[in-house]
Amino acid sequence: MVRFFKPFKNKPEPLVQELIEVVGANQVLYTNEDLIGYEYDATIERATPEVVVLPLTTDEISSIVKICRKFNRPIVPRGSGSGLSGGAVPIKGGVVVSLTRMNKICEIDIENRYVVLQPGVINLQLQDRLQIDGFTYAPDPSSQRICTLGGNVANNSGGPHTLAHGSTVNHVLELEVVLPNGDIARLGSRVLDTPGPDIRGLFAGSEGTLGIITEITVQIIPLPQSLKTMLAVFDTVTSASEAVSSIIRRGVIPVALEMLDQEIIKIVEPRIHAGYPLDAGAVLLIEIEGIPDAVESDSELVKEACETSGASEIRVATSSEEREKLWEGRKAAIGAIGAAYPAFYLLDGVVPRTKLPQVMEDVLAIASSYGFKCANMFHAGDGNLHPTLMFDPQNEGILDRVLECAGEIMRVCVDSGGAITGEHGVGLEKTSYMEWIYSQDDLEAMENIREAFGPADVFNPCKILPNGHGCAVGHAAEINMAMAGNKMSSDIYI
Amino acid sequence: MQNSEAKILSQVFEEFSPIVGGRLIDDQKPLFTVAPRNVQEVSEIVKVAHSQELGLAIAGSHTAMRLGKVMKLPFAVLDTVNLNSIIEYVPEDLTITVEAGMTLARLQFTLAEHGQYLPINPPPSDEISVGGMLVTGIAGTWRGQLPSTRDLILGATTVKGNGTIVKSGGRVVKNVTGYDLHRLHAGSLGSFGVVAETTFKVLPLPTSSVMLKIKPKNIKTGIDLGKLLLDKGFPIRSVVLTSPSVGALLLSDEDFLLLIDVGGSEVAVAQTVAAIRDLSEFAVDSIETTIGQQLRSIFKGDNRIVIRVGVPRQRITEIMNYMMEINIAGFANIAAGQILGECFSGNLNSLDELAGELGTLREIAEQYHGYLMIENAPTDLRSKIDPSGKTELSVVGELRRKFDPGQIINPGRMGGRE
Repeated sequence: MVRFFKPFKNKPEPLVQELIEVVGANQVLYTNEDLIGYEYDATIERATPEVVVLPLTTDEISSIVKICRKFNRPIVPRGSGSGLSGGAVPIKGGVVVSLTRMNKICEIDIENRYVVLQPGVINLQLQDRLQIDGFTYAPDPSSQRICTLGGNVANNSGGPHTLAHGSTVNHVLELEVVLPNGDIARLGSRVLDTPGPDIRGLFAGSEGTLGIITEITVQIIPLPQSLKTMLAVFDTVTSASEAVSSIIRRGVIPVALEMLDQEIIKIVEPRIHAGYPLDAGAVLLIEIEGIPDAVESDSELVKEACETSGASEIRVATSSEEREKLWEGRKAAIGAIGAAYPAFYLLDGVVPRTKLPQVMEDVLAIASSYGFKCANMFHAGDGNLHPTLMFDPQNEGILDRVLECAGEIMRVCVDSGGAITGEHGVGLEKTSYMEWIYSQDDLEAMENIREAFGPADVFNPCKILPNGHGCAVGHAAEINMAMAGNKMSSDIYI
Repeated sequence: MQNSEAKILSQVFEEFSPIVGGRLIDDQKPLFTVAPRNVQEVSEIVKVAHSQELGLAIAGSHTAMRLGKVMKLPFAVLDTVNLNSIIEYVPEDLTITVEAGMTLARLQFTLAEHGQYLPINPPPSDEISVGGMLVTGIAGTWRGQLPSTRDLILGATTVKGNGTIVKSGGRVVKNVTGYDLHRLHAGSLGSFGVVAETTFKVLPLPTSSVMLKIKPKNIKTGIDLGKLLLDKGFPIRSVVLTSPSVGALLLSDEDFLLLIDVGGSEVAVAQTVAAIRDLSEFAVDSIETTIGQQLRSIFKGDNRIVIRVGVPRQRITEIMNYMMEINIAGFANIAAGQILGECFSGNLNSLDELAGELGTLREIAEQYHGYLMIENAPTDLRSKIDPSGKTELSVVGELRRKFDPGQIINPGRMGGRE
């Protein structure tokens, strides 16, 4: 689905001219060919912005916001465009503010354990830089090679190591943001527990709807003295899920506890050669860190838990190369699916951990009933599922079926006491599911948040909340509309 | 307002069995006290209060009531004492949902039966209600090495200032579905409504713990050693440096003391203790683990003047030195960069002087991006100096108007009814 909002002209309009005055002609994009790259993120929605602007400073962003308000254009902040909920898709057109040029690490303060950085810094670049000093920034989304810290904060991103270290919000000390009126505000501070309501915590995860993040201060932690990465092999997802509960019962919280099922192993292993047994029903990727003796004793407890749950093999990475390879299989799984299938749809749901075995059975049964292959690689320790439906987009009516199937899977997550997103965000994709979780009063309170920051249609309209101003009622409606008028092209899914 | 008028007004709340009067709050007598038994009753009470434009002071265990600005009369008290049930606890999910009036002590007791705990140890004790712990943001010595309430909260059911019941978050350990309204309440002093239910992420209780004592030469050597240990990645829950007067009260030892709380598996604790002995140039003694609780409660008492200063770790030495110069006894949580201190006020006239000194200390902390917050003080002092000292963002005012349009919840705590 591609939406065009304006008959694009290849000559500057007053809006464009004013933006050029702020950031220079080279940093404002407005021709059709320049805008194509900003139509989409990593999900299946598309819409074309009117203008893309690439600022370098907070003051420039403040000016841009004021200009957009003057011309009554919505603003969509954007990082690398790796989001998985349509959060960066400019569904109402307007101005996309790309933050990729603001990619400097401004200050590394090891003694006081914080780093000040711009929102366009890539997650992995920060981790790599800190490693030199023996420190790390804990949240590591699987897309960490390309995703930006600004996007991580906006989505309160997770990742495999969330189990022990928490999501992004737990690591953010201070944010500098530009609000809908163009004002620059600082939320939180460089020290812990600033007095007053936690507006910093509220802003993290607000998906670019309350303002633009222009500077971030994050906490850093020392690298562990010792690290052990293990692969446990099981015949079924159910027995692997039982092992997860068994590990927790023993009082061990690994820093990561990831599961890959048979379908994803078959896709990943031939392409990445991570060392996953091809005949496994499921594998658990388990990581334990700490001081050496404790890592040894905890890994014995983990082994015991896996064995009593029916693990056929438990392998421990003996070198950093082997560890990296095991992780490569997990973190590059999405790319492997992209190479193996013409299209896929990646879901994000979360359930109470004890409901995992039943929910996984239900997910596979639902996918099967629709005739879809479903691969699963997910954060088992957190109960955070990522069922991935593979399909051929050339099949007539396929997208309707994909979305219907996805909706059923999400419903199972909600009915089990879970939620519709654990780390990808609501974005554009799941607004219509919000009413499954929240009452009208709850949603009105969320509207209150948005209104308190400024008019709801200034920043990233039609995201998070259903029935926004002039918005369709959610993902399913959007897609149905698109299907009625457009023939889908296969390239948009990969 | 006269007692007779209070009685008439309390009759409006008849079905909630109001008790005329009740415990003083900020030295002021409330009109009456109601103690709802569930969130629906909270909602009904707030609706009536909203329609009557009556202020409602929210009280839990009354352990953290002498902070924030002085409450404005007239107000009734909504006491959460009857909101003390466990709503859902599935140990294997590492989550627990409880009513907000439950004390942390009872919560910890329940969790301990399943080998788990909420890794928070606020001063002065675990008698604080979990709702109070969330809205005051009071953190203990584990903060820094372990998370805070604002990190561990997964969801909440709250009641807005017009009585509307609002839910946010959920009962799963990872969730980004919608705006995190529950985080708004962290540190809010209850200004956005009544917290009725809370869901927390919990952790396994360490199977072993020890408390170590080291006598460094001075503040600097103590802080430096503390930082060194913290940077090694040991399973240390806290490293605290106490000033000589605190050391004297705590262990009859009028020296600087470095107290290290190690918690984890037996193997982890043993290896950590051995490593600390190797790394320290001073003697390392093992002391009673109950010292941790005694330290928490050392400034307990309604009439104490207790402040918390937050600064980057690098500035702790300077701030502690300054605090001692102005006669503030304290101890520093090195991992969190937080110094808790008690001020000795003397007579009433000296409160002006004390307010001035605290203002100067606040300026120094703010130079380093830090803060000074009053955690417990009489109304006189809290009238002379802003207890939290943070300039309100305009958006905070807007949020208050949205969530408590009549500004009836904890009237005045965050700056008065506008």
